[in-house]
Amino acid sequence: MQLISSVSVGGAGAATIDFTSIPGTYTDLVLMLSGRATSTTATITVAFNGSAASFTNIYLQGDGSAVTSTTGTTLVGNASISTNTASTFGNLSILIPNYAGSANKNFSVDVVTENNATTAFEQIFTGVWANTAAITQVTLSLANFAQYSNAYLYGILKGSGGATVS
Amino acid sequence: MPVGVSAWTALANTTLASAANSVTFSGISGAYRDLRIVFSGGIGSSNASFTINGDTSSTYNWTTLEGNGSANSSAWNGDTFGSMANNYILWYNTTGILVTIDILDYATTDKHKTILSRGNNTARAVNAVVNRWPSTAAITSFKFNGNATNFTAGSTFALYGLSA
Repeated sequence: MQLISSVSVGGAGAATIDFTSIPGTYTDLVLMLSGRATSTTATITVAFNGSAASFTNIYLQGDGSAVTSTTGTTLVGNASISTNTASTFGNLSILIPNYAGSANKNFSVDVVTENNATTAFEQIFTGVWANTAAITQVTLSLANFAQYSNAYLYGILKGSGGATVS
Repeated sequence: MPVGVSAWTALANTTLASAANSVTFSGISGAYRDLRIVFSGGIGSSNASFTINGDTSSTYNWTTLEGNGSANSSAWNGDTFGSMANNYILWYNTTGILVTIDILDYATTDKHKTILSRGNNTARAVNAVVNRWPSTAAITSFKFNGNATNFTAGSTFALYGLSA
């Protein structure tokens, strides 16, 4: 697992976190985010290769009192919002296996938000981008990412040694 | 790498050139702290499962939490095999299944092993599954069982070791 690139949001905030020119040399991608919104809008959405089309998802969510399951498109989770406890950030992890392959791209997402109160979210997502192109760009959008939001993109390399497979 | 993120070492992986009924990781080194296993692909017409160290006699108890986009459910059961993600994720889907499996402290000999799985299938549901393998033995092999059907050609299976 190798760090490909990282983004740290500065004092002005940012509407997007963008990883571009992703090389096709890995088997899988892992994106990790520590994120907080500057507004009360919590939703983080994703685009691959600049496209927000052809996404489908199902997610399961608990907010501290209720459990719900919903379908959607580009949503990949919530961030902690401006009214949550100060200095708390949500965590989000996206796994995209076979991101450079020629099949549709399936991915999973695990999310928690942080808030020292009765409402905070835990979410799990299954998503697919119905597109056979290799993923070379991943963009996360939020209104807006607050300062100190950090994102890391890792590439996973093929295995050798330590076990055999048959 | 940021603090708190463990290093993943790729131990083995395979992409099926043709459909196969099982895939086994064996000779797993005990040099790591945790294991992560990733399956991405499809299975023909039934559910799949797993077995650890070839153990098909112990009862692997499991609990699931699942959402299909409109309804939520939770279930518990015990079988002589591990529940890879449960039937609803895997059943009758030839593509588009993604399952991640984490096994903490897999090489220890002082505890039963807990297996945490996340099942993903946008045509079906999303879920989280926990299994317990009731053995204190170190895990040295992990087998995916297609049971009544096969994993489809092009499916990928990857094994990673996580170190502190």
